Amino acid sequence: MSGALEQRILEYRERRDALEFFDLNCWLGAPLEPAFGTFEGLSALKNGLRRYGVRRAIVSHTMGVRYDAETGNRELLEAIRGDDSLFASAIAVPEMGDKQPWLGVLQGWIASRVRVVRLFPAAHNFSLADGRILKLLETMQGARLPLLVWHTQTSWRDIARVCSDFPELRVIVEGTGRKLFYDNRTYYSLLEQFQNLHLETHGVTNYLGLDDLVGRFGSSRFLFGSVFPHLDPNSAIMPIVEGVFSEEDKRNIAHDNLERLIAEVRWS
Amino acid sequence: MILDAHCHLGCSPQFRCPDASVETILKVMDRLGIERAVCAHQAMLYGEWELGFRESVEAHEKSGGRLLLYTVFDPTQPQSLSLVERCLDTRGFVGIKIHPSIHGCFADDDRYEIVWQLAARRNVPILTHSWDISEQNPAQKFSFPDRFERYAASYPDVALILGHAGGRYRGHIAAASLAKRHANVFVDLSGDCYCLGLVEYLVAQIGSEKVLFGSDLTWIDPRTQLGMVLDADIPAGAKENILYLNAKRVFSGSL
Repeated sequence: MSGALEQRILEYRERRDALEFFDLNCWLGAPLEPAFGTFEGLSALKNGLRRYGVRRAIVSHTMGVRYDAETGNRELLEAIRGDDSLFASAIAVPEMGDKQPWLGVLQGWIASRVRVVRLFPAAHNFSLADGRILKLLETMQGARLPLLVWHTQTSWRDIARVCSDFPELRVIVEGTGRKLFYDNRTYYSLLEQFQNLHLETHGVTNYLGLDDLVGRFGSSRFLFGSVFPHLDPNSAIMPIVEGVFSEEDKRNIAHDNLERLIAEVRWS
Repeated sequence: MILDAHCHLGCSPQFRCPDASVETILKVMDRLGIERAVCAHQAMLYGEWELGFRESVEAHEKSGGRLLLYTVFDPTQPQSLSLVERCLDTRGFVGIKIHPSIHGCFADDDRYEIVWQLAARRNVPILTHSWDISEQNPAQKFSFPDRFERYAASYPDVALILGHAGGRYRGHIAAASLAKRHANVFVDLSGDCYCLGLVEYLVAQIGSEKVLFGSDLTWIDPRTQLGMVLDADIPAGAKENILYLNAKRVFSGSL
């Protein structure tokens, strides 16, 4: 290999590792789509993350999407228990609020290292306007617990309504399937309109897409996520490592913004 | 040095493009160490042929020859072949792009025969869009890798680059299978195709000599694929093949 290429690879890995990435979008469980790479179990997952320079992660479980939210949450919380480098993203469905008040549900989750709640309105057949979901969102707003939702699971109109009705709720949008950037004409407007709207960046892979967002809106509402182990983290990492924005902006997107969001989560 | 075998000029109508200017493309290439790129103008893909031709020639000249050009063949337009020939007679054009999904014509349709004959006669490679069959985007069925077998087999001297290496999982497997069966079939890594292990899979299946670096700029950001290649678990020499040696070979000295 030429010395120049060798040096380039070394420099990229060093700069990546120095950013100490904190991954918002990491998964346990069988892939939702067929995949080449799989990492069975938590220790394999953690070793895999380390190999890509990711120090910490918020983990979701595919079982909670594909099968049953409650079972998936239980598997996930059991898997990450006692691990200081990992947090959980729980999946909520409306009926969870029937068994006990949402505040109790959320307090139990937060005590078990849940720092983000996901909703899958399309896959789980409910509406973001469902009364029980509105109660959940109100309770999450009070607890400063962020909402994570795929753009392919709801409409941007509903996302805008949630941002508007719950202005203190941190709403983070990402999504698999059709890449997020295809909706950039919509989310540019909504980012101007709603300060509580955030984007996870793995789907912002259009040419100069992330540079332009940071140039227009600052870096505080963009969060690194990888969809590891189903997607290659480098595809989301290099646009940050070699972004045309400041080192402070890079640190914000790589880890600071997510650290700040989860530090704001209220325990009681 | 990096050679990018799959780029664009101009914008996609489907989303907001921050800056498609030639000046910025060259700055991005400088920053990432991309020496040359072969570009298909999006206006040509979407039927605005004269605009695409004019801006392509301007981009080639403005870049001092660093931006090389694909012409675009549309099998549904009777005059398309003569336009393609006009391009190949113009300095800077080094290949032909086909896009069965945009043009709504299966890749093995009879109407593609004339462009394969031309590519053989002029000794230029064909770059094609290739993708997995998709419920979200039914037009991708026109570009499933298996559809290219007819002409790849009939024209063994024409290099065919399967852009996006089949796009998604089943498409990747079909693309690798086709490239394995035919010496003249290559794949590129362009597009939003980020499956973990994709680069390693392709190299294991077809060898690093048949995988080209491509970005899909001005559609997709080149950093997304470059990070995957630089950090891939493949031998060092394989990365050199992917990043520039293969493109040099496929374009027979034009790059």
